[in-house]
Amino acid sequence: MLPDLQKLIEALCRHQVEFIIVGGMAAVAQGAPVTTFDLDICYRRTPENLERLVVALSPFNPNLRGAPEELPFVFDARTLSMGCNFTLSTDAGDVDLLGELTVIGSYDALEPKAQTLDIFGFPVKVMHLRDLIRVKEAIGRLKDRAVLEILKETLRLSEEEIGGNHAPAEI
Amino acid sequence: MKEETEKKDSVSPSGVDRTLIKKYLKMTPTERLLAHHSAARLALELRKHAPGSTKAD
Repeated sequence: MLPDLQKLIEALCRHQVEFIIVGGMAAVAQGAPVTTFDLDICYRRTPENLERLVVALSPFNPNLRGAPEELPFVFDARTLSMGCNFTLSTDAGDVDLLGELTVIGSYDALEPKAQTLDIFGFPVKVMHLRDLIRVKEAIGRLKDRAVLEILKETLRLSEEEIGGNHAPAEI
Repeated sequence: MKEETEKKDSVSPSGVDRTLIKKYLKMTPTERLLAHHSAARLALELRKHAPGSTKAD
């Protein structure tokens, strides 16, 4: 199910969750014409942030995506603290929660280079295209290789435009 | 000749459509995400109606 980005981002921001949009949606937000069907976020794994994440997403009834219905899943800070990466289906669409990213590492490693963009009126951190390219090159799945050239060309053209003139939307 | 140069400018050596990227870069991040949402919805619809597809989303 396609994510209702506005609802999800609004909930995450209103509850002051520390998160960074990564993956396909990060590419789209920075101008890459790629198609993706879920929202991937890298979240900070502090106890306070896990609590905020749970409060923000609980109204959307998150459940493990693709898991058997009989498999019990409690979406709370304890569950999040015992795992790291979760693929969820919610009433507002599919959301992947990533505590760690291949090559990059945790939220703290990703955050310094992330871009802050105005998305639906909120300042939202987005993984930089350069980092996204690094990750996709390292993973090297067929689907990643297919979009790599698009990401590289988007980065090149955005940098060409007066030193990266997707700046009007940055805050 | 002019047409050939224009075509060369609109497509990267690796075959990426530069025109589409330039169009996206002119938009705000929110506009890009909304445009993507419409395109992704259409892609899902097409997938649903593809021959042999049993997926209903």
